[in-house]
Amino acid sequence: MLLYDPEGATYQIDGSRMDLAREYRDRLRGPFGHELQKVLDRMRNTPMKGRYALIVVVPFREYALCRLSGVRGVAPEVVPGVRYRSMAEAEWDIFKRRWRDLTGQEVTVEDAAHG
Amino acid sequence: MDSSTGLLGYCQPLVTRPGETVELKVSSNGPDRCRVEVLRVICGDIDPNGPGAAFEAQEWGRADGLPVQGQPVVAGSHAVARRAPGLPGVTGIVLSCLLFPTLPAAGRAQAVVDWGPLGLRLDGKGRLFAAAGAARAVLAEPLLRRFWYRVTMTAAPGEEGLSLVAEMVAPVAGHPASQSAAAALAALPLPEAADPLVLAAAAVRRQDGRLFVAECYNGKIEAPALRRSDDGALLAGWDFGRDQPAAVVRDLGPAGCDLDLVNTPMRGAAGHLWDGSVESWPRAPGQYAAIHFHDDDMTDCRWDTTLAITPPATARSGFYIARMTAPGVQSDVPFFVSARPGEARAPVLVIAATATYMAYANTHIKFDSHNTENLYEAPMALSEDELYLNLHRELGLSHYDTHADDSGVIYAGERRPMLNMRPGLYTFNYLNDTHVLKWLEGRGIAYDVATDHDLHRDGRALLDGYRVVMTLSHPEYYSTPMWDALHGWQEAGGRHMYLGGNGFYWRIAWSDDHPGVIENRRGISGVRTWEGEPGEHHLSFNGEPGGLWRTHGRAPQRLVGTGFSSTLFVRSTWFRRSQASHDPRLDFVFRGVNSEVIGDFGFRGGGAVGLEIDRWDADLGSPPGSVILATSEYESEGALLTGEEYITTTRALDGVQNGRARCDMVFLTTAGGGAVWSTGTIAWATSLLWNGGENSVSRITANVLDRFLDPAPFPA
Repeated sequence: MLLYDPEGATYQIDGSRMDLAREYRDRLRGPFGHELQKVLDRMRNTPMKGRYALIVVVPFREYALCRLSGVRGVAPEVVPGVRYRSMAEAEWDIFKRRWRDLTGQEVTVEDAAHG
Repeated sequence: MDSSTGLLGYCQPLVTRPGETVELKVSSNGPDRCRVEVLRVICGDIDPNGPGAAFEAQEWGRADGLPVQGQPVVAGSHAVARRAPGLPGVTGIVLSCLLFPTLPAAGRAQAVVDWGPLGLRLDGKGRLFAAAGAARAVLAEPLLRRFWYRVTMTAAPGEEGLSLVAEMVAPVAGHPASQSAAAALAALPLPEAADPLVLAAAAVRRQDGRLFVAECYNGKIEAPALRRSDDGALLAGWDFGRDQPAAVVRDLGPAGCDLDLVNTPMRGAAGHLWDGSVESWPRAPGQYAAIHFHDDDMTDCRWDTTLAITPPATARSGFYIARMTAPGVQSDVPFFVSARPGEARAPVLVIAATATYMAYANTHIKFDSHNTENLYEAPMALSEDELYLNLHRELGLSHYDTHADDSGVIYAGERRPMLNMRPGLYTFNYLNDTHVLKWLEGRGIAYDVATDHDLHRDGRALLDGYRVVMTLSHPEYYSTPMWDALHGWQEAGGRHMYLGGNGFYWRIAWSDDHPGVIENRRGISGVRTWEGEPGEHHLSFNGEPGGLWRTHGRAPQRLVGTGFSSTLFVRSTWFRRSQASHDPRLDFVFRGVNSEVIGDFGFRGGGAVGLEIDRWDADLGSPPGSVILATSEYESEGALLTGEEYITTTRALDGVQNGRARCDMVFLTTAGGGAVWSTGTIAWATSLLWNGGENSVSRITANVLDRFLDPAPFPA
C-alpha cells in the first residue's frame, strides 16, 4: 500500500527572501512565480500534526486559527485570541506564521488590507 | 448561528417516490423535542455572495413537539452467528483460523472471536491471547502488522489445557516463526445459550436486549473453524471464499451457525493463499477466502424511526430536506422524491447524483489526508459539521477516506447522518447541483427529478418517457446498469445534457444483499486519496472489475464525448469558441451570444471552467463526428493532469505547459438520432446563476435545452 510521507517535503525556504513574501501578499491566489510556488508547496506539505487550519466561527464572516492534532478523533487546538474576518486575512497570517516556523525568520513586509 | 449538529438524522430509504414513505430517524445531542418541516430544495447554497438559497415549504411531513432522544451508533464490522453450536458432551474445543492483523497494537483489546467465556483476542500491544473463563494463554511477542498467521487455540481440561499457537505462514527474520503459550484449565467453561458467537468484535448485550459490540478487530480473518478436541469433528466453520456478494456466510458444520455480516466488512479480500496469479476473486475463490474487518466500518446506524414521512401522490419530484429545529438548533436531513418510471410529468429529467453524494458523505480528508491542502491550495476551513464528524468517527467514512488501519474505504452507506449532503458549507456536488435546480425554476422550465439509485434500479424504463435528461455538476460514480441505461437511451434517440465534469469516472456497484450501500474500489489509477491493495480491485458485490471505467474500455469519452483530464481547484477559467462551432448547423448553441469567450465568471473560482475538467479524445472514444464547440484557455499552473493522462512522469504536466490539461465542450449525435451536449466542467453549473442568470453560460444552456426539446432530428 502507498501512504503519504508526512516528512516528505524537502525544499528549503530562504528566510531572507522578503521579495517572495511581498509577492504573495500582493496576490494571494496567484498566479505565482516559480520560487514562490515552491515556498507555498513546502508550506502546504507540513505534517498534519500541528498544521494550521481555520475553524469557521461565523460562516463567511469569522474564522479562528487552530492547529490540527494529526490524530483521528482528536479535536484541533485553537490558537487563543486569533480571529480573522476573511479567508484572505487568514491566508496571509498563516503564511507569515509558517515562514517563521520553517525559516526561523520573521516576515518583515507590511501587511496589506486583506479582507 | 444555530447548531447544525444538535440534532442528527437520516431518512431510510434516502430515495422515495410520491406516495411512498421514508422513515426519519433522529438522534438528539441535547433537545428532547423538535419540530420537523419538509422543504423542497431549490438552491442549497447559503453563501450570502452566492446565487441565493431557496426552499419551498411543504404542507406534508410536519411535526411539532416531536420527542427525540439520543440513539447510539456502534461502528465496527463484525460477524454474528445466527446460532451457536451446541456443546452437549463436548469437553474440549479447538478454534482455528488464519489472521492478518492490520492494526495489531491498537492500544486497546481487539476480539477476533468472542463467545461467552471463550475468546481469542489481541491485547493493546498486539499480543494474541486465548481466554477460557479466567484462564489466559498469552503469546509473548506482538503479532506483526500485515503478516499472515495460522492460529490454533485449544481449550480442554488439563495442566496446559488452554493453549495457543500462532505460526507465521511466511516466516521473517527477527521474529518467531512460531509462538505458543499455555495455561491450566480445570474444565471447559461453557457459553450460555444466550451468549452470541461473534467474530471480529466482542458482544455487549444492552438492557433492552439489543446486541452491540466493542473491541472491534482490524484485519483479515480466514477459515475460522470450531472443532471438538477429542475427535476433531467440526462444530462450526466458514469458508469466506464462498458467496462473496452475500451478507451471510453459510456454516460448513452440522448446526447451521450461519454468520450475519454487520456493517459490511470487506469481502473479495486476498487471503493467505493469494499469490498474484489472479486479480479477480470470481476466478480463484480459494485465493480470496478472507474477510477484512475494520473497527470504523459503519453502513447502518439501525436507529429507531422517529417520524414517518409520506410525500403525497401529488408531490413534485425533487431534492427534499426534513428540517429539524429546536431552540438553538437547525439541522437538515436529506431525502429525494423521484419520478416514477413511465409517469413523466415534464419533458426534462434531472438526475441527482446520489451515488456521488454518498461517495463523498462525511469525508474526513481535511483531517486525515495529507494532500488536501495541496489540492485546494488554501488553508482548510473547518465547519461545525466537519469538526463534529472528526470527533464522531462512528458516523462512518467516505470513499475518500482511509480506515484507522490505513486501508481504503470501499463501502459507503446511506443509513447514517450524512452531514455534507445537505444545504450548508460543503460547496461540492449536492450544493452545486442545486444551482441547476434554481436555474431551471427561474426560467420556468418544467422538470422531473430522479436519482442515481433509480437509474441503477430502473434503467431505460426510467429514461424512456423523457425528451431530455440532464446530469449535473459531478456524476462521477456509475454502476454498469446506470452506464448501460444512459448509453442505450442515447443510442435510441435520447438527448443528454451533461452539465458537469469528471463524470462517469468510477465503476461502482449496488447490491440487493447490502441495501443502501455502494461499493467502489480505487484500483491503481485515477485521482485518488488512497490506493487499492494488490489483487483487491474487483467489486465484491458483483465480481466486476472496479476502478476507472476508462480502464474497462468505457472511458467517459465514449458516453459523452469528453472525459476527465485535470483538476483545477485554485482559479477557474473560461472557454473560447472553436472554429468548428461556427458551422451553421451548430448555430442553435450560441444563438444570442456575441462573445467568443464563454463563462469568464462564476461562483467557484471566478469562471465556468474549473474544479474538475474533461477533454475530447478520439483515441479514448470520443465518437467520430463529435464536435468540440469550445476549449478552455489560460488554465494556469493550477490545472494538473490526472495520473492516467500521462504515461511517463516528466516535467510540464500543468495547464501552462501541457495541452491536455484543458476542457472541451462537446456536441455529438448518435446513430439512433440521439444527441449529447457536454460542458466537461463542474464550474459550469455554478456559473449558470451569475448575474441573476443573465449570462452566456445560462444562455447557451437554455439554447441547447430548447433545441434538445425540439423533436426535429439533427442534420448529419
